[in-house]
Amino acid sequence: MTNLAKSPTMLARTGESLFWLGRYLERAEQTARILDVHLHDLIGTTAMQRRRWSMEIQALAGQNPADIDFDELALGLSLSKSWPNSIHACIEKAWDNAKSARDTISLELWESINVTHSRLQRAYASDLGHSPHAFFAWVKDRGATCRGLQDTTMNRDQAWLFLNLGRTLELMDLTSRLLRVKLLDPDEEDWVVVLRCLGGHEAYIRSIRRPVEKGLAIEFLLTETIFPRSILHLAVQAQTSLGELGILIGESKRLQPMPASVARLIARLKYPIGDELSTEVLVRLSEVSVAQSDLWSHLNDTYFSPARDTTTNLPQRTEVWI
Amino acid sequence: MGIEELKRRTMECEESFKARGITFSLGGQERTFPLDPIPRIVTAQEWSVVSRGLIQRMRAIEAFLDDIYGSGEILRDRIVPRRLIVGSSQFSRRSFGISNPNGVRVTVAGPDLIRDETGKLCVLEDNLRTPSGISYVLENRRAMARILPELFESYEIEPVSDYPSKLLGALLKQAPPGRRDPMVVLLTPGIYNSAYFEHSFLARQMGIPLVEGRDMFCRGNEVFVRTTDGDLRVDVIYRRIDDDYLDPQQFLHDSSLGIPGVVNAARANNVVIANAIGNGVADDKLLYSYVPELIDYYLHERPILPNVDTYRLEDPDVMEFVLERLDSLVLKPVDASGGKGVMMGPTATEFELESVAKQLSDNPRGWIAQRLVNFSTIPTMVGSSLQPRHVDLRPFIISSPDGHWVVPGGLTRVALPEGSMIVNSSQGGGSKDTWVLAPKRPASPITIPSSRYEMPPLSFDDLAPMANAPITREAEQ
Repeated sequence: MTNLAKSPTMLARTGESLFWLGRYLERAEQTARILDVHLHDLIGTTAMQRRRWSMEIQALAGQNPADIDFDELALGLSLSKSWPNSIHACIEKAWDNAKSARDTISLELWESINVTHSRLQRAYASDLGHSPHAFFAWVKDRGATCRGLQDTTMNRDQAWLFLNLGRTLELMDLTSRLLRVKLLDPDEEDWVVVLRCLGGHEAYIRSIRRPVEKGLAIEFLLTETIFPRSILHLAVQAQTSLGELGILIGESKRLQPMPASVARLIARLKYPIGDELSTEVLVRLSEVSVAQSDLWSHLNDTYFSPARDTTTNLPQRTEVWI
Repeated sequence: MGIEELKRRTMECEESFKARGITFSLGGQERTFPLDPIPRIVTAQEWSVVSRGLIQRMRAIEAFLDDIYGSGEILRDRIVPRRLIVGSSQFSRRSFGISNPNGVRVTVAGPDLIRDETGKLCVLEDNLRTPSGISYVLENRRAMARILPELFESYEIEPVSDYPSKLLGALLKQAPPGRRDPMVVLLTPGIYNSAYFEHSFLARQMGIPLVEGRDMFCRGNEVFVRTTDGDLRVDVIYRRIDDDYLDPQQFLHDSSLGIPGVVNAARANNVVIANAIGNGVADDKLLYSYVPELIDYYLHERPILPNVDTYRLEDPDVMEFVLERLDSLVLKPVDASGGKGVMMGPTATEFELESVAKQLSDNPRGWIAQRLVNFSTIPTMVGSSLQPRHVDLRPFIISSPDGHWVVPGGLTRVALPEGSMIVNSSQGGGSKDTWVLAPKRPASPITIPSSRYEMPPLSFDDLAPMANAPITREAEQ
């Protein structure tokens, strides 16, 4: 057994960079997936549908929905430098954070992020540019490579845990946003698209073994324990990572290893009363938001910028004259 | 091996530099520092002279800095005029009276050397503030081992890879007295600095945190760093930012790169800043011309490495002499670094010459004139042929309370355009690996005396137990 107390010191800022590195890597990949799925399904849809999807995706990407054409949206979300959540912007920010945290990630992971960053524009402009699907596939591949290298070349130390918490929180955010956006429209029938946006269509078929329908799909995305992108699975994962972090660094100071709202969310999803899962979806989703923001505050207050007690332990001041 | 093969291997190397991010940023672009595959070779004999000369220079400069930020004897003895010191923009009154308890101010120096027409290496600049480039020395050596492994077999080359451990050793030794297991950090301006790669490289190699100003704070004249596990006290700061940005309480008030209060913490001997504040005064180009005098004054020795002929313009006769032949001299502002503001007489336009002449007469203290040294060239790969290109050499000297250590070799910078004498990386320069050949030792065969631990050779029977677990699926066979 290794001496956990001897975990090497990590700057608070580096910890935060790792967390955001995880989030941005995940966001870039998920944005590519969502665009890919929608672009693919555009064929044979009405102008109405296109407009609605354009609005929905803008809402998903955290922008104020404007009336823009879907192709323009796809291009903007891929390469725009001024859209804060475009794939380009995410990779750029991931790269910045990776640079800042360079001494805590493995060389191979760094190389992979660095190459993704330097080739992104070229990948779009040259051979992949004529097919958006090829470009999105490239982004997804790069994302998978980064995740694989993270998992195979890094110790399960605090660096990995912060990275992984970033990924987990991002996915939780994405799943709940997607559900919200799609629930906005009561007539939304195409839940296959929703599942595919989360890479969960096949997973659904294998685990539910029923045709895709709204109620079952929502339940699946909320509570399926074996689906890695369900809210329940992600919340449990966040809980585990936080616990490990607490053991790894400064166990004594963290009296509360994890926010109550996360534990509550897990319990409600695991043991629903009656049919509350289908009748209270929006309530659950707002609980997810609360849990998410509590998770972030918890990380921030415990590790990234804890409040300092400036009244005690002040060392004896040495007199100094200038 | 033909030149095409050499070229291919060099290209491969450059790709790998790019992928690993061994780059510097210039105008928002990430660029590699092109590596020329032909190494520069320096003999052990010459190197021992150079290295003694550099150490001599460092000893004199250390003594000088200690003197002018202390008792000022050299000023009383009128070796260096007082107005030259207090008039230097790099003289820092705030460092007056801060003396590192362990007596080192220039932990790392990276002087620029050139080989003049007579073949002698001479010093062009001392670079005592935050010299950079060592990461390229280490990475170039690794790259060369991949490009030309054949050469490494036939030469015995002095290794450079000790640098990070030597530097860490020197930093640890400088910690304030009484600190056990001192905490050393490397202070960088941040990821947008052009030398960020080097900062992160060194931090990783030394295993110390790479910090920015915002990661640290001062309380009660001690410096702390914020970590995920609480605040930790810092003992030694190896800083790679300029004096001006170090402490907004003392220097530029609007700088967010530094740590408010760190100068006072250093004054209270609670933290050591390396390189020390105010070293720039000995980097002043006018003071450079006094280094031979400093060596004589403090060490009573004759300088081993010469300076380049330098004219001090404050003497009206010298000024007149210089103004008459501006077009054959090099004019440099005294307080700039990195080749900023330098004017080469022979290539300057009429207009530039006139404007410089005016600046000289207005501010004789602000400029020096130097003889234009037609410094040496060595063969360099250009396209598919070898051509002569001008090179300089930047060795690195680490000083610790125990003594000095000179990197065997250093960074050789090449001016890639034909005839150019500008080697700066920002202006189309490249680099070469510098090989100091190890002195010849009598070759003796290595014998391992004991046979007690010798393992008997394995036989195939020993592998038999492994065969029990199948390694392919039966159904597939």
